[in-house]
Amino acid sequence: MAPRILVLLRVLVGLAGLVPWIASLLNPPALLRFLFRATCHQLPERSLFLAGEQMLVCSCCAGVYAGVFLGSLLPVPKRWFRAARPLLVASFLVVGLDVALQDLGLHPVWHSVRLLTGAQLGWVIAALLSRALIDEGRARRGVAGS
Amino acid sequence: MQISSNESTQYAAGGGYGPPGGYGPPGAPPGGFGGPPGQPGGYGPPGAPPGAPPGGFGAPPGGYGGAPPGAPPGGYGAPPGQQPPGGYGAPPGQQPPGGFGAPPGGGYAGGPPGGGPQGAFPGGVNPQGFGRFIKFAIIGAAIGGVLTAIPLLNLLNYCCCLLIDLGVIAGLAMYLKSNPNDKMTAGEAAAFGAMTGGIAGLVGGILGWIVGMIFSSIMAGLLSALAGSVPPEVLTALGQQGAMGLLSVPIYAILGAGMGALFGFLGLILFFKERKLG
Repeated sequence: MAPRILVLLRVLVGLAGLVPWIASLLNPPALLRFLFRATCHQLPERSLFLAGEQMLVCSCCAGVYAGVFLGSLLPVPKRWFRAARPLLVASFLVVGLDVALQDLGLHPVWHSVRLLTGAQLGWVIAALLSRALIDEGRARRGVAGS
Repeated sequence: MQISSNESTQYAAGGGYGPPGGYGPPGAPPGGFGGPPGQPGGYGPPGAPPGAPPGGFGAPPGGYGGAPPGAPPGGYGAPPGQQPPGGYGAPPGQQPPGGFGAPPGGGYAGGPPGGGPQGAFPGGVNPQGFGRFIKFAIIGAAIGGVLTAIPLLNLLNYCCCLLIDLGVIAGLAMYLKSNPNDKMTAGEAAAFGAMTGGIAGLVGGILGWIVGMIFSSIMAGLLSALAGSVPPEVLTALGQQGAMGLLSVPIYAILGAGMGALFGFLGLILFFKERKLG
């Protein structure tokens, strides 16, 4: 895999994280809302409103997207990569636990918690990927340079 | 010197092509059976299988000289400007004994210095390239795309495009099962996921649009049967939905590619960590 492709992958992931946020700020047309319906339930009571407009995705998904964007910029430290699997499992569990508690009626819809749990999941996934892509790119450049 | 075409194929091009190296097994010393280009001589007459014992008629530089007196000019040497004679003559159409050349100083044998779980290729670079994934990416995309097009089941896509991600991981699993000796880097897994997810989004979007159109026409038929005629606003809404469904296909492909990249990587880390390279 060429280093250029690895950089491109990282940029693609970062852009994907920005899409719903930018689109929501630009007063999204009905078409865009319809398109994002395939990836999120868009329930108003579980969604954030920006400038009076409902976001294209719910607050949990918005957190995931924000986390993905952040993760493409801020990769995890190298030594964290050894613990990638438990880190990922723990991140999924945190989101699952929050959603389960909320759906069981044990607590109301807390947007801040949904946003944060989603963001930590998105960040962990994208930051691990970024670290892997950066390291791989460096290794490839090293091979090509030698 | 005149050379007939058959003769020139059989003899003049009969050697000198074996660069060093070869596809050795992991751990084998680098190098191989190739001889340095330009070396005179050759092993094995034409028609002998590769690996036949030496003892042949290697062409001396310059070829087999001139024709006997009175005979038409001819011979086996390479004409000036052509490949120099010598080397290891292989029968036409067969593998020259020199084998596949490896890069200087190495060969595809063994891992980089220092060892480690690097698989069969130095630096983790599989010489087959990214093309080796295409078949499995298409299979995974077909799985994800068809699942995405099924009404009600497609609600699972609310969870980070779960059905598309399933297709990505299924394709990844099939590839790794079919190639038990191969390993993937994180970048390759992400690129595999992006390709699979992109195609799955495309397939799912198109199939979903077709299914939606079929359901719309059934709905319109039912409404006209029950109420006598379909209200124009309902027909307009159904038409708009169909048009938006078609417009959504490229967006699904882009979203699928983004999510697929993440989940290709995730699948490798979570389920096939021992197959991760680097």
